[in-house]
Amino acid sequence: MAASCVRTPIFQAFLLRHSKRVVPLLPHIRTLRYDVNHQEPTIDKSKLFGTIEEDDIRRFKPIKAATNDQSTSVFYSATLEKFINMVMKDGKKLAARKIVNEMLENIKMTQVEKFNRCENEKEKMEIECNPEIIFNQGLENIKPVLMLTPIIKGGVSYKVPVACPVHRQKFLAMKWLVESCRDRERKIPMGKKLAYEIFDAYKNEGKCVRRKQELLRQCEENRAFAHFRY
Amino acid sequence: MAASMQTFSRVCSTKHPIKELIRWQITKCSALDRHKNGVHTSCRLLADVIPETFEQKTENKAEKISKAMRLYMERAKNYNSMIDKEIDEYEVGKRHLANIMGEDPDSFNQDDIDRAIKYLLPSGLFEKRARPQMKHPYEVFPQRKEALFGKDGRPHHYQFYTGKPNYHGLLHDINMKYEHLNATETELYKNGKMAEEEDKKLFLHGFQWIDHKTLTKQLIEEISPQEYNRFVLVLHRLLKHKLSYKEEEFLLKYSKKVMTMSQFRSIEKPLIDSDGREYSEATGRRKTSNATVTVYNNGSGQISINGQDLAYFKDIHQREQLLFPLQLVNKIDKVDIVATVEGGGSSGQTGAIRLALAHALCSFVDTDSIERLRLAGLLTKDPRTRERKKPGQPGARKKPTWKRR
Repeated sequence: MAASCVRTPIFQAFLLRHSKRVVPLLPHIRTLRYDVNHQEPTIDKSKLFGTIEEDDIRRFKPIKAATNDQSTSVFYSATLEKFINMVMKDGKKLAARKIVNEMLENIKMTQVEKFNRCENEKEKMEIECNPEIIFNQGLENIKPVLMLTPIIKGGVSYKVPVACPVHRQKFLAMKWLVESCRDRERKIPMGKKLAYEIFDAYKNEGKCVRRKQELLRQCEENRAFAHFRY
Repeated sequence: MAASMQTFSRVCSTKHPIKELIRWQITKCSALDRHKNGVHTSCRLLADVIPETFEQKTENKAEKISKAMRLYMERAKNYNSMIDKEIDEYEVGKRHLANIMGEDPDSFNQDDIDRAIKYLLPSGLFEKRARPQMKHPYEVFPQRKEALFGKDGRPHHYQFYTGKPNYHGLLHDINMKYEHLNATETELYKNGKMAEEEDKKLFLHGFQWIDHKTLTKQLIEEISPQEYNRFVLVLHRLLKHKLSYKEEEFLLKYSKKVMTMSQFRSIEKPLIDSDGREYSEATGRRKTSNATVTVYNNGSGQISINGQDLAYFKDIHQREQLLFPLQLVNKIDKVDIVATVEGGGSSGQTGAIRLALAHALCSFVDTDSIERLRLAGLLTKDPRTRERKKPGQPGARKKPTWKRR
């Protein structure tokens, strides 16, 4: 649809609210290998074997190919795959995957050691040995609720506190984690450094959590500009 | 001047002098005015310039309109006679064609005509519309609208002056229906009968609104993309109403049934080996890798890739990728796989084998599983390839260092 009005964001928002499945939205990506009609693949096994309605758009549209990282296996985690991509440098996926696996291994080893050493039954039950759960919880503790966006009003650029969208929260948490590890001493392997940082974040301590709190403090300071977001 | 006075006195003698004076439009005569029959052309009879009465005025307008109407009727007659002639030719031609093909002329329909033309007049032209074709005249000649106004010049359609009466009339109708449904809803709420209407909500499953071209054809008017979008929004609003089931017939008129993607896939039956084993073959591509996979049914989970075991792939993730389609359709240890792959790197080869494997497995599983494979994105070829380097840049996207000046 080459209509100029279809491209305006207001019209897009209107379409989103009123006709979910009628008019395909134009993507905001410079070049796309896929046609606009292609839908994202469903990787969640429970959703695939669950009920999919007859008028679901996926039944009438082509589906994009699953990437080489996706699978319906029990070991697949979308968050971890994203994190591997953020750790990756120069397209070296193998090295990145190795580092993240080492991180998980380190977390597991530490926790299992703690578990074996613990004598108190009650405390033993509370020790979390699943490294994925610890990783996810650590990330949650690093995710900022608010963020500062520059808004220009009357020629002056103010830093206005704004609610942080979910995808941005995830990105910032992972970015801070990786950055703080890269800043540390080079002799310690990256996997270990990541594990240390995750443990700190799990307990709500450490560099990343401090960074998040610093951001929230700044938001609190700039509270006066909050009404500028409209 | 003397000559004009003579004519004036001549005229005055027969009629009332003052009236005649009013009738004569005596204008300033400039030196450049041409003389005609001894009278300055600037002195003209008022009767020729302004009509004397209102009836004379409307008579002229009516004349013009009836003239237009007459022309229109003539054109319409010519068009109709032309179309009738074409239809006769078409029918006769259809019978001739049927005789040529040796088929029954009475039951020869459009599909048969297309087939016959393709056979008798084969064409290698790429543009399908340039190939020889024989269609009913209604599809070849553009449709024309009926008379838009009557003999008195009054247009028939109440939206005539919008320029696109059919389009605006349609939007108006949809909105009127919407408001009518609103009024009905209010009535039902008043009487407390709204609860009965809860289950009757209309969902047009598997239907899509008619597209732009179809709407243009239906309304015989040029519809712009913005107007089409507006039409779709208004229709959708009507559909979303709680009582839209009352207007189901109307809404279906502007919808078309959409085929589910699963209907496009033909069910491929498995082939049978010389040993009597069922097997199926498929090919897959990813980046620059090509893979051919043969899946044998009732196997024990043996996998062979270019003669080697699964250990052909050193990375665990790549091996996991091969197991992805098997795991989804629950055939991990139940089939034997023989794969050959060439070209590309390890990741490309993995993708190629995975695609080929998923396609081959479709012969051995039910339609639900095939749909699941499709929804998981296993049956789509990954179109992503390496982006080319552009001139003036070091890479595909990388640009030389930006300098302010």
